[in-house]
Amino acid sequence: MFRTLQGLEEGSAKFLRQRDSIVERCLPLADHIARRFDGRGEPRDDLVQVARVGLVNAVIRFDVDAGSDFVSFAVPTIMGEVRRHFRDNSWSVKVPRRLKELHLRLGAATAELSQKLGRAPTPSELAAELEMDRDEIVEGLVAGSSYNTLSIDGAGGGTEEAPAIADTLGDVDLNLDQIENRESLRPLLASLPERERQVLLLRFFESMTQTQIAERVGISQMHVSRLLAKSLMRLRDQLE
Amino acid sequence: MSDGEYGHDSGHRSPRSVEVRVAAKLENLAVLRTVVGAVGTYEDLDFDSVADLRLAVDEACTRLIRSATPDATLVLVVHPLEEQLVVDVSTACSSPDIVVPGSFSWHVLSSLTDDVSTFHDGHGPEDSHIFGISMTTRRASSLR
Repeated sequence: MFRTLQGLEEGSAKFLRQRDSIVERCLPLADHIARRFDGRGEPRDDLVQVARVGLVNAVIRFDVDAGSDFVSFAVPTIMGEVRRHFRDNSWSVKVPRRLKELHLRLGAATAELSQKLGRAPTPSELAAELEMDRDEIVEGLVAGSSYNTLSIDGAGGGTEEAPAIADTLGDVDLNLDQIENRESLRPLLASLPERERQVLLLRFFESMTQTQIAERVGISQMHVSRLLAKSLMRLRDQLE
Repeated sequence: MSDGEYGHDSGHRSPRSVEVRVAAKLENLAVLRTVVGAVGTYEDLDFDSVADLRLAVDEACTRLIRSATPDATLVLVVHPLEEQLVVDVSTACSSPDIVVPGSFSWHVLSSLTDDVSTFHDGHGPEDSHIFGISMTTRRASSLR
């Protein structure tokens, strides 16, 4: 497609059309990258938007003759755009740039280690993986968690609807036998938003870890934590 | 899951124990969560355990704060021990029914930590008694 584009006169209607169709064809790539950054406190729609901007830039800048294929050129470009967005927008607390970068590296390494270990990693394990000082990791994690606390408290942002996820999860069999106030609990559970309920049931009635839930539902562990905190708070208020 | 231990705290003290005292108000939950999260991270708990512990502290402290007498002080102590981290939270309450075994709250706390117990730590100001919840999280390394 890029070869065709190259053969067209730059700025001509045909050229623009061809370029648009390349962008359109690659939209799923941008959306996929945006999803990887989901659950870090930025509204999903914004992330998708930013990733798509990155894609457009990548299409404009790509040079067919440079030798690499488009995907390996586009992925870092799009990621860069999304990272820049995080750097610019989401840190309302003054956190040193170094820590922000660290936070993103930690996110990636955590995902990798969770896969390898079959459970969430400890800071020591992360330090070994990233060949960094443990204290630095701890500092980064603590800064990261305060960043995350802020975004929890921020306006909901309306990212909760996720019909696809709800559909992929079968209804979890609800075993409330060991709970005495189950009769008052049942309707409250039923009234939780779909995703909150699924996450809550998986954690408290299927004994899955937060990392396992994150993987199954396709959101970050931090997001799982946030959803759990929210639904537990709701239940506490209503069970009174 | 024991109940009614007396003078609970003394057995767990470690040189790295951290104690925080705040007014028993819901507004202070965020600080308590953050402290526990920071200590848990520093103590090298895995991320799931830290996240679970934060939720458990939320749950336990909310229970206590709701039963607390006006102007009560809530005490949170984190004891990092060799094999586990113990978090004790307590405050002056007028009623002993803070978390009843078998309740949803109890189920939540026992799912989030490896062990939960309640304790009674003597008289508080006026007619109140000091009641507390103790939660234990084992280190990932001790499970291997």
